[in-house]
Amino acid sequence: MTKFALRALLGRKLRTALTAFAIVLGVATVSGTYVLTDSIDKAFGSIFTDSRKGSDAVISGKSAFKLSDGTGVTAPAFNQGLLQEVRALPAVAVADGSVNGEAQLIGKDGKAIVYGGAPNLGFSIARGASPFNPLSLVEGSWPKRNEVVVDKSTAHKEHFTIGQTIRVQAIGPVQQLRLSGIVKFGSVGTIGGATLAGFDLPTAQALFGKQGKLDEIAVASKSNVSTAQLLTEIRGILPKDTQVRTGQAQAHEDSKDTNAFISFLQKFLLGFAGVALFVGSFVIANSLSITIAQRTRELATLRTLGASRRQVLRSIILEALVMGIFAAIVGLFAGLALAKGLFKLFDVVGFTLPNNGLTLETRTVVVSLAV
Amino acid sequence: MSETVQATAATETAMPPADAVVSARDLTRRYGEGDTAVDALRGISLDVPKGHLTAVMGPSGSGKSTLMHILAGLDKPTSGEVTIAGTEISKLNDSDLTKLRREHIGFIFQFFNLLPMLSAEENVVLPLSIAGEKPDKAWVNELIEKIGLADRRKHRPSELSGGQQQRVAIGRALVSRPSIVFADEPTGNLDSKTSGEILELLERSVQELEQTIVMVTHESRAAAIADRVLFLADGVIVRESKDISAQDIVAAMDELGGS
Repeated sequence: MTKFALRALLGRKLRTALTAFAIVLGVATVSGTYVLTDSIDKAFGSIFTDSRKGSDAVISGKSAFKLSDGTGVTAPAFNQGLLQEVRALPAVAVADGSVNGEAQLIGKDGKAIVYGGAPNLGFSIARGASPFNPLSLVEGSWPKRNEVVVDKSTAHKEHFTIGQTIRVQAIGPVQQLRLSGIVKFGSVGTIGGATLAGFDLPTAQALFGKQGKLDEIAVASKSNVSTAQLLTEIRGILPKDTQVRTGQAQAHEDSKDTNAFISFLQKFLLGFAGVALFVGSFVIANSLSITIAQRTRELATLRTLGASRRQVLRSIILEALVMGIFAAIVGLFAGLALAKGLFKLFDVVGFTLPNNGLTLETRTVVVSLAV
Repeated sequence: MSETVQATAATETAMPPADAVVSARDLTRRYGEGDTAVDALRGISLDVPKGHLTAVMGPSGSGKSTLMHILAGLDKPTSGEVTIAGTEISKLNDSDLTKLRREHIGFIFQFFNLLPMLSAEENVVLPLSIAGEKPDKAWVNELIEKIGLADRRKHRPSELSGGQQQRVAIGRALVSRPSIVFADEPTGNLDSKTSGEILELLERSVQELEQTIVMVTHESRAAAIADRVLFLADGVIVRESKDISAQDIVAAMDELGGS
């Protein structure tokens, strides 16, 4: 009977193929969505982890109040003087302060450079050799006063060359800055379409209107000091309007905003997948019942030849199962291809998502096959 | 003639003869209820002796298909009893009926009903595969030789002619050496030349293999090979003839149609 069920599948190639195709489509959209969002999630995760990799602790300004979802609050800057105090602590090996904000690069055509609504990140780079610096130089040198470095992808797209003057606007009037170097961020090719502009500290402070202030102090402890001990020491000297977190906790905090975005994207795409699957399930159920209806005589023949009710039922279920499993596996891989295609599509419309290679989570496999 | 049938039926009601493979007592079958009810069978009793070919004839609507379905356990009678190989089947549950079919019943259909994805030989041994038995190679070879398909074993039904397909179906009906084979219009879908060959094959299987066959047909030529012909009209057996010729069958049928 097993042989019979399998033969039945092979004997009806076209119908089997069409039914299988419906399953493949449904599973592919679901698995594709998961792969896509997981990949984005992981890429963002690695961005934040990368950007905090040298930090054992991060001091930042404390918001007067906190929104429950943890988004939308920019912590206020604090006094630059704290940096000297932190450096003086016995447990601290290195500490560097930085400021950051939105810094709009302006292209040769005089228009602001924006890629699909992605942010234009501006920040200070204390020293090129700082352990807290997640960037690496591709060419040129680290920025000095009134100089700027930009990320490789932006420089490439805008045909910026080292030594030329770039106009940058943050808070206040447009500033003319010399391009001193081109950088790339950690292990990621591009940070999701965001433009990066790095300055030295005084230039950045001037740009963002934060003279004499810092947004963050990144701290590395001495090798024989535990993180807990470091935190305790720092807490002892912290003014009221600041707080300290471990580097890991800070990376986690940083990623909260993007997680909200990713989960929106995931729901959005899963919505599509749900519709596809809903329609698909009708196609599948329909073609299965048609199959059975058309085969009623064949099944009746089997019964008269001495097949039990259970044998007939089992052969139908086996047939559906074999096809379902086969199609689901194909769909899973089609989903991988789909995710790759989606990345390309987003790229084409200028909405570059961070791409760190595709992520295949166990959850994706399980969900897809369950479907 | 009809009086003699009723007379034999009355005497046989008590006990079926020992050599009867299939026996039926006072079968009735009613379809529907109330005013629209149709009586397909109205009291039929018969015995099919072992090693005989019994033909059931009658005009369409006479109840012959219903009778065969009930005799084969595919349908249940409204009242009456059917015994196959000593087992009273109306009280059997589904799995016992399945077992009975496997061991005691073979079927030959008008439209062959072969499985298109299996080869001729696989179709022949299908009842054994379903039952989970290993086919006896020598017997299968002998059978395929007998049905004249030794050179067609690996062909699919779609690659065979109608006559060849029916030969496969006959092989399939005989392979489990059932107590009884039911043939439902076995030549109804064939031209007259291949019909002749199929009838000859059925006749030979009775003579050489001592197979018991019940054949439902409306073709006088088919009925002429039978050891015994039962004429059915309006749900009752109106006449029973032994070793009757085709011409006499035509005459008898005309009489039934005219009456």
